[in-house]
Amino acid sequence: MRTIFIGLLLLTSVAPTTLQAEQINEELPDGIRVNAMYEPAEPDKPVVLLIHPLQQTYHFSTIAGLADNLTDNGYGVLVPNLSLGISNRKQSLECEAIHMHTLDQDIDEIAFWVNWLKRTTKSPIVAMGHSSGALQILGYQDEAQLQSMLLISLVTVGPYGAAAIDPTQLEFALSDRQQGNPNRLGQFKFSYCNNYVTARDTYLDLATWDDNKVSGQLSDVTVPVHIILGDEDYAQHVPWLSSLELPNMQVHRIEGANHFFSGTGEFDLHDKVIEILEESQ
Amino acid sequence: MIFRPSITQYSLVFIIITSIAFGVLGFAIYNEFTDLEHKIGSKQSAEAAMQLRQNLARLDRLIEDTARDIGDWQETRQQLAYPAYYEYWRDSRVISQSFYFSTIQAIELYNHTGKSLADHPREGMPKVLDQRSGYTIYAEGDEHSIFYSAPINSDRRGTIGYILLKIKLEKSLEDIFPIQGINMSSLRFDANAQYLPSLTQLVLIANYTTKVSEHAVALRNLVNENLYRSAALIVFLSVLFIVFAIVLIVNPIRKFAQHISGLESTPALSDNAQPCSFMLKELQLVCNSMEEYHLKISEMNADLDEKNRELWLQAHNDALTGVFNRRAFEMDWQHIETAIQGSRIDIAFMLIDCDRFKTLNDTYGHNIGDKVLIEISSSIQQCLRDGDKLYRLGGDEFATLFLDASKDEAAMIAQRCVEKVGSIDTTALGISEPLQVSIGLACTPATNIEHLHELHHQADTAMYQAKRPGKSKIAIYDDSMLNDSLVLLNNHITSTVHSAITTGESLELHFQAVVDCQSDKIDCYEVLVRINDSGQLMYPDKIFPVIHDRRVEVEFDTTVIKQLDRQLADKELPENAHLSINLSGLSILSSPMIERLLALANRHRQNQLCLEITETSLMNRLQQASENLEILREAGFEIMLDDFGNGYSSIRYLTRMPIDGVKFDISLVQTLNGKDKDAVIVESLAKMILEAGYRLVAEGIEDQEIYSRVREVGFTHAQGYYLHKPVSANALGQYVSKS
Repeated sequence: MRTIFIGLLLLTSVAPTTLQAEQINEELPDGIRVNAMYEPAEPDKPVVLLIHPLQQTYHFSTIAGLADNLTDNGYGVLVPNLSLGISNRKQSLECEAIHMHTLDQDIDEIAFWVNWLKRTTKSPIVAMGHSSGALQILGYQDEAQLQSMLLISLVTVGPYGAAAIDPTQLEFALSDRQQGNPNRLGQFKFSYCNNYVTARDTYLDLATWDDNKVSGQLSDVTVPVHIILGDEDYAQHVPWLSSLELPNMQVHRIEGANHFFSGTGEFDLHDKVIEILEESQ
Repeated sequence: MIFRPSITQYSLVFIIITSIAFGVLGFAIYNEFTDLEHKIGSKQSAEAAMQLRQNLARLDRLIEDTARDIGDWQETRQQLAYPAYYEYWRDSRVISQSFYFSTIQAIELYNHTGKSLADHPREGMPKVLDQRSGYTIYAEGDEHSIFYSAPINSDRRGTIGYILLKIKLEKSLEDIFPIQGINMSSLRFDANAQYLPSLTQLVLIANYTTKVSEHAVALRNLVNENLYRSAALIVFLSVLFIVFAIVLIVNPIRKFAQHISGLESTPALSDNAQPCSFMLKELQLVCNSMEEYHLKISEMNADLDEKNRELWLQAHNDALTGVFNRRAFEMDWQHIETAIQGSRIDIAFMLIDCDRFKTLNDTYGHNIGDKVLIEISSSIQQCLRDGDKLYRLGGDEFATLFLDASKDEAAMIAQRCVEKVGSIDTTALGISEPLQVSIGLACTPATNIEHLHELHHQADTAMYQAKRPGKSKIAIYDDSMLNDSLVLLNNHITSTVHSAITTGESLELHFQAVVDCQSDKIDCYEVLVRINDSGQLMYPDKIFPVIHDRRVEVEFDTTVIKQLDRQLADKELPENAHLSINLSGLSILSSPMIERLLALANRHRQNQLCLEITETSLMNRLQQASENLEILREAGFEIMLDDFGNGYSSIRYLTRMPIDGVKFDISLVQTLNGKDKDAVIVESLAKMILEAGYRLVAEGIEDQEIYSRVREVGFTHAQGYYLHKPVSANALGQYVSKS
């Protein structure tokens, strides 16, 4: 786990991004300023709304690599920086920072950007997210606006996996909220953070995205859903995905790839994404 | 007295000078270093002020950059939008960021209206921000805090809030921007509640002390350390120098000086001479050279001593006899005069003269004469007391001095000398006659300085008396002798005699008749010499001492012959007068004189001429004298032996010499008046001579009694005042005319 987290940080901070698209600055209804990179799609090709994992930005290497690959293949790309409650956020958010946002707020921003795309382009929209970004895409309710969903390294919040939480802390947070302290800050073990700072309510909101909720959400999706998993993603503990049989859902396993599809896994991921997008057309 | 410092004193002076030089040099170095240090200090002060300004500017930039970074930080903006968890941000998040620095005491965020995001701002932080940009400085005890406020702007909304930082000023400068040239603990700012647009203005109100450069301190320490080390080295070297000077120079030189002193007191040739030994090679060489030099000097001194001794002996000893010479006498005499004058010591001066030494020398030769002198000196020395010195004053004259000897004691020693000399066996010397000495003694107490000075003269006078015929061989001086001695010592007499010899003008010939005892008639006239000294006649007793002393017998006889020749030629003498002429021994040996006499006889054939010669004169070169006398006898001269009895009275001479008669000395003639054995001997001698066929003449006939006596004995002729006094030629003429 620790090794993966260090690799994530390195990928975040070191891997260059070559996305040369236009930067979009918008203001959410609550006044928070958000920004995104946008590259229009070639005719007859969809535009991909690409969502980064929790705390990251569109500079996250896996996201940036996917964005470049997509634009290189003529697909449109909108890569927003989710605000995470911070106006005009351009930097990743540290574990120890105050995480004042909830997944629902993040999903609202996804909806904001889907609407922005609807206003901006006629191209069909493919929603693509990585890790918790995939979870947030799955939470987007108005899937009818989408052509399809590509969920890469999909996670669930639970005692195991890339979005693991400590059950004891979960119990404590529940108890504390019940005692009338929903907004008290606490440091929690979440995902790769051992001291994820957030309020009890926010933490408990994250914790609702467990296996049951995710499987339920997958069952409810009406557009084609492609789940891409690395078969060496040890952080992935969703064995039930393999047994889950849904008519519009397809799971793609990439041999030898890890959670971040680093190394040669990145090319396999890109090829797979392009393959899926082309087949979808 | 010239002050001569010792080597130790020189060493001390050298050390003092060296120390002073080092002190001056060290003081100069110290002063130069102090000046340099002041210059460095001034430069450091300027650099410190510049550094303070620069570091304040850097702190200024740090604070502004930090404030800007905090303002730009997305979590700050998150707090400005949702300050629900501001305290967590302020107390935890912001202080963990890299842009946060340690000397920030507090940080607060304010909304766009200037109200603090915190319900309870940190201590000292205002709840409402009045000063919204720039610095405000506040004193907190000895230190200061600066408050920096700056707006946080948004691209679209403008100023969305403010940030206020509280920073420890001195601590920031000390920890973050330390100033090398300043003692940071001394840094103080004279300000309180003062607004500052820029921190650099704090330079104007800063108080501090500059820090001495580490290099300067190191240099000062190095200089001081080196000065101390050098001083210690100087002290060490000085002590070492003194020790070395004492060990290697002073002590060896003292030892060398002692060694030289030892050499002075210990002759190099002595077995006690210790060889020198020194640690210093050079000193050892010098000492060895000195010892060699000393050895050579000692050898030279010994040689010189020997030479000096020989020279002294040569200078003070008579080479022939070995006794002291005249130089030694004069030195001793001078010393004695000085040393004993005024004392009560009786001093006697004894002057010894060998009788007839010249005759002996002429007769037997100089070798025999030298042996005679050796024998006489040896004999006299045997008679002297221990410590008495015998001096040979010259020729046959000896002298000795008796210190603390009475007149009788001196006379006794003199008597021993006469007897000892008389007892010398002359046959061993080849001499057939005895040796005699005449001794003159002069005695005086040393208190009489004048007599001391005249002692030699008095002894000489006494010796002259002793040598006179018929006198004792020892004469002790008394004042009555002074007149006799005057003859020899009178320059007037000498010059008169000399004038008579050279000019013949003052020479007068007087004539005394020699009477035939049988007929009582004048047989002949003895020619006697007188010198007319301004009307006063000078007689032979004064003339002949000078003649003999000056050795001018031949010249005098020549003058007399000339005078007689002239008077005979001038007929001043009685016609056919029989004349008897006294002739010295030297004249007999003189060929010119023989020629002159032959010429005289030849010119005055009418006059019978007789030559009177003394016994002693014949002793010198007897053979030559005999031959000459034979020549003269053949020429008609009669030869008479004069003064017989006043000398050796040798019968041998009578038999061997060609003589015609003998003239008894007055001393023998007067003996005839006695009735003792002397008279008998003389009478017998006279008769023996008469029997041998000689004419016999008696001198000194002064009365009838003696005349009768000589006639009784049988003398053929007599002569004396009783019979005829000497008269001048004129008086003789008158006398002859009357008779």
